[in-house]
Amino acid sequence: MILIGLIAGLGTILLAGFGVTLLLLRNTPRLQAAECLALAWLFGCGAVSLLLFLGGIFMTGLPLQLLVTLGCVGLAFSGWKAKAGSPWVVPKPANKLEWFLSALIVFGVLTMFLASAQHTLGWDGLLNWEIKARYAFLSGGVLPSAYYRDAARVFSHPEYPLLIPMTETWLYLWMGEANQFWVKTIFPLFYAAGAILLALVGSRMAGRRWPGLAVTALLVLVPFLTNGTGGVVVGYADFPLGVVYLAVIGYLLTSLKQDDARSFRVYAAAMALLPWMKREGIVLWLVAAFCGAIVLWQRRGKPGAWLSLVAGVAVLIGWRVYLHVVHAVESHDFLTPDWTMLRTNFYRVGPVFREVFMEMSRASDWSFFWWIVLAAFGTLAFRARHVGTFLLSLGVFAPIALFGCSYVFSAWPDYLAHMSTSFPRLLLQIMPAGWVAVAAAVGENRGLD
Amino acid sequence: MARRPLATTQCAFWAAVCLIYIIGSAPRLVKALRADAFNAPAAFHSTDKYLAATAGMTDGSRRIGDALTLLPDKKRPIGIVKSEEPVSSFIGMVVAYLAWPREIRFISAATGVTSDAGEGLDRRCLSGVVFCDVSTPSWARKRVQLGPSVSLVPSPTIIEPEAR
Repeated sequence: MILIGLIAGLGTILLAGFGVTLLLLRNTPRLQAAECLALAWLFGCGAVSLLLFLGGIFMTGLPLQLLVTLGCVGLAFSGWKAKAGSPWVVPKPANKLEWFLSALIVFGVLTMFLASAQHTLGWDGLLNWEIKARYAFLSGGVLPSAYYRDAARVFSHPEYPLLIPMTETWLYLWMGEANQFWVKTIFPLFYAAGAILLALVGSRMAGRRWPGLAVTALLVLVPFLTNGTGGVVVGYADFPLGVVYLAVIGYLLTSLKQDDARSFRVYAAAMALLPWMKREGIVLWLVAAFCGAIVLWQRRGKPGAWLSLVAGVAVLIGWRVYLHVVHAVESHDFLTPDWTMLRTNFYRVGPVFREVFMEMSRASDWSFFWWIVLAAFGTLAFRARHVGTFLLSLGVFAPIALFGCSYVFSAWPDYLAHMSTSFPRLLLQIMPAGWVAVAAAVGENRGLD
Repeated sequence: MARRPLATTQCAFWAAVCLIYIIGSAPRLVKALRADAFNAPAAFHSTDKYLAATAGMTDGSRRIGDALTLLPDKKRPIGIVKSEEPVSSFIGMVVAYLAWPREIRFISAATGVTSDAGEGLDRRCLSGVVFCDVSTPSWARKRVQLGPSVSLVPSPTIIEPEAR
């Protein structure tokens, strides 16, 4: 019964996601089935979590579940109408190398499911994310306002956004129980979606298919994904956020290359999910919005396109207003950055960026991944000095620099201890986008032209 | 023609890079997959494992959850944890996780003086006290031992200060 519920829950997420994806990709001559599936998962989680949260303001229990299900069906129906006869294309490997690499990618996805089943939810996975889902499930799908004010549960960061918890709640509502094992299914699914998107974006940026497939096959070998305290297998939000960021950067570069409004729509919609997934998503949103503004300025974008950038701001402001209304208890890991604080803590800059370098070169977490990314950007700097290369390097290095700078304002007395517990997870959010640069460098990088 | 040696060099470079990366990373993936056995899909899959590791409890989530359910509704339980003891704090957080929808408060007992833990509390407002890796003090008469290092003292068994 639990499994049937789980399948139904996942099915409704995909239904809503397909609807959103088809609406965003409307008027596409040919729809890639794998691409739509991956985007359907991302947008499905976004749509269901938002519907559940917004619907929960007015109702709870079965009526809420019915309303959100109807919303999913409605989105799917609208998307199907917008598809308007565009044929589906299922991409098939063209030669033995592509078959081999595709098999390795499938192996990577299965590995993530297996590793996920072996591990427990990690600290944050349990006490930051699943705890909210459990409480919401026990309260008919709505996180009670008392939770936000509960000082004894402030360790669970009530102010964190709800994409992951509400998606988990949705599965619980369908399964009929809060189950710490089955709920982890969503994280390997984020890996699968990320793998498909990386293969697609990597291939587009490389100008050939095999480099995209090759970097995707190598993705599973990043040690932090399976070993670290923030990888796919322990139910943290960092890798899912990395997958959304990959979609954001990937579709922005695609829109730049093809001058394609559809890709820009996907970029803008995915960007709105960043601050709804995790607080750090705000930093990624800022970088992505800046990159998008460069593209729009270069393409002399229409006002409507500029307006699409603000969807993320609406999500962010809406969430902050809600937290204010429910009097949420805020945790204080960071001080308010101002000029005085910067002068006081300026001595931290050196140690912080030394730690950034140390972490990126830590083989137990990343193997040689960041060195490979550095080599890729070195290659691209010689061979592909285009705006695309600039945007990609900005998309990868600007968040790392901003994340590093944030520790200058850490409220922890031992700011380096703060950094060592959280910074590796922040790098995980950028990691999938880093692979795109590798694919572009390995291929003929026609995609960044 | 000049592009051909360059392309070959580039190809060889990236092949070498990938090989080094695979050799460096593959053993870590194998180690991660061997780290733990496949777990049965239980509702409290993670909290049970944590409570087994930190508090030596079997079926700990259910036992804590059931014990807290039996406490009177109108009063609130409190948890006592050792200050600056990560294991005790962690058990406290798991107790808070399992206690929902009950409001619960935590107080920290300084390490080494846990025999006085909870001294001075207004016990008329308490439904019970959960000791998280803290030895039960003298004022707690009848305790329910939930695990080797987790115990619950329901309110009727707490001796009122004037009765001692």
